[in-house]
Order: sequence, then structure tokens, then C-alpha cells
Amino acid sequence: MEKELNEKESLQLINSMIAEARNNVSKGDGKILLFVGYSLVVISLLNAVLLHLLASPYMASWVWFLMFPVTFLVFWCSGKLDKKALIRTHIDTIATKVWKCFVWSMILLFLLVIGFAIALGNSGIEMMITPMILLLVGFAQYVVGIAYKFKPFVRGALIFWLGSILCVVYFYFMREPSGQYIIFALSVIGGFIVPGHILNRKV
Amino acid sequence: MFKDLDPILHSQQRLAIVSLLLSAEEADFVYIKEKTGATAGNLSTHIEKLNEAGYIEVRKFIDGKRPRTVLKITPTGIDAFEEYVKALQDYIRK
Repeated sequence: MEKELNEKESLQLINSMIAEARNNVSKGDGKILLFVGYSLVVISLLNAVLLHLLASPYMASWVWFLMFPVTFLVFWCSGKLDKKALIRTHIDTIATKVWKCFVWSMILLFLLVIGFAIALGNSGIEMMITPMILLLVGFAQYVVGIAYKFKPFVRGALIFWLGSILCVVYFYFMREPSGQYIIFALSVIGGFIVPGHILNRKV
Repeated sequence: MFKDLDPILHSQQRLAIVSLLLSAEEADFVYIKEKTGATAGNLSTHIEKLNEAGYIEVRKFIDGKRPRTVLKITPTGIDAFEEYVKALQDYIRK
């Protein structure tokens, strides 16, 4: 037999159920973040090493094309996990759209910088790509962190922004590009990998 | 003058179901069962009542080899819920 609720109990029930649905982080949710994080670290370090090993150092940037299969796998796995999920909240949808928007912004940013480099006849402008990407990742990570009220994501965003500034400072003093990729890798460790492990352990 | 509380929503299980669905775009039957602590049979009865009232949409399909039931709140359900909360607040203020 169901309990007869009074007005206060009804409101309490509503609040507790809404809170339950919002607290929708489950064990293993950080797996995709970790996959992206480790892939980015490997690719950026590979880029840094190849800059010193290749006879034509600019060819080192081609390693970033490895991100295409990584991105494809991420969207494929996310789709699979979404189908299997027991609940999909409005915040989950916002987070997915923010990351999709980030991917499109990255592609546009890349094309814009290359376009400017060709128009100005100055390939040096391409040095802007890494700090700009860190800035955009930080933006997406911050929005998602605030939406989920998950502080490690917000702290991760701050690390990405700090990395973005460090890239410019490093290049100003050192005048060589490989350090940017090491800063990028370190930012990804702090901004994706650490929060990813925290998220996996959360429940 | 106080409004009557909607009898469809003024039930512990049905109110819990609608409250859970309010924050979700859609939720699985298993999830609702786990969070409300209801038995499958009892939950099915409440879901049927909410569906008949047009407060929720029920989608049944086969995922691989597993039959699944996914629930979603409708705009009618959201309006009814808002009215219900307003009525509750009126009662509390009196």
C-alpha cells in the first residue's frame, strides 16, 4: 500500500528525485576522456620528438592526422554508450553538443590559421595553433565542468588556459616550436587525464 | 481558494517517476525502478496511468537481444507538474 503524502513530503520527494537524476555520473564515465587524453599526449610528444629527428621538421605536424581516427572512434563509442545509457539528462546532451562544437571550431581554427599563413606569406602564424587549441579545450572543459558541477573539470580548464599562456611565453624566450608540444602534453595530463581518473573512481 | 492536487501526480510512486523524468531527456525503466525502489509490476501500473493521462511517453524496443522500455516526460506532463508544485506551494503558504 502506498504512503499518503502531505504537502511537505511531496516537495521533499520532488527535490530528492531531481537531485538523484542530476547526479548522473557513473563509474567508467571517464574512459572516453582518458582515451582522448592519452592519445593527445602520445601524438603531441611524437610531434615534439619528430621535430628533432626529421630532415624536414614541418612534416612532423602530419602526426596530428592520427586525431581523425581517434575522433571517429570517440564519436562511435559515445554513440554506443548513449544507446546503452539508462538515463540521458539535459546536461549530458549539452556536454555532447559542446564537445561537437569544439571539434568543428578546431577544424575552422586550423583552416583560418593556414589561410592567414598563406595570405600573409608567413608560416610563423601557425605557432598560434597550439595555444589557441588549448584555449578552446579550456573553454569547452569549463562549460562542461560547470554544467556537471564537477570541480576537477573546472580545474582542468584552468590548466589548459595556463598551458595556452605558457606556450606563448615559451616561444617568446626560446624561439623553438617543440616545447609547445611538451606544454600541450602536460596540459592534457592535468586537464583530461587526471580528471578522467578522478571521474572513473568517483562512484 | 486552493486548487485540488492532481490525483494522477499526488501519489508517491508517480510523483517520483515524473520528478526523475523532469531532469532527464529520457530514462530507462530499470533506472526508474532502481531509483524509486518500486517493484516491476507496481511500476508498470503507475507508468500506464501516467501514459494514459498523456504525462509521459513510453517507447518499447529491442536493443540487441534485450527488450527495453524508455520513458520521457511530455509537455502536458511538464505543465501538470508545474501546476501541481504551484498548488503544493499554495497549501504550504496557507
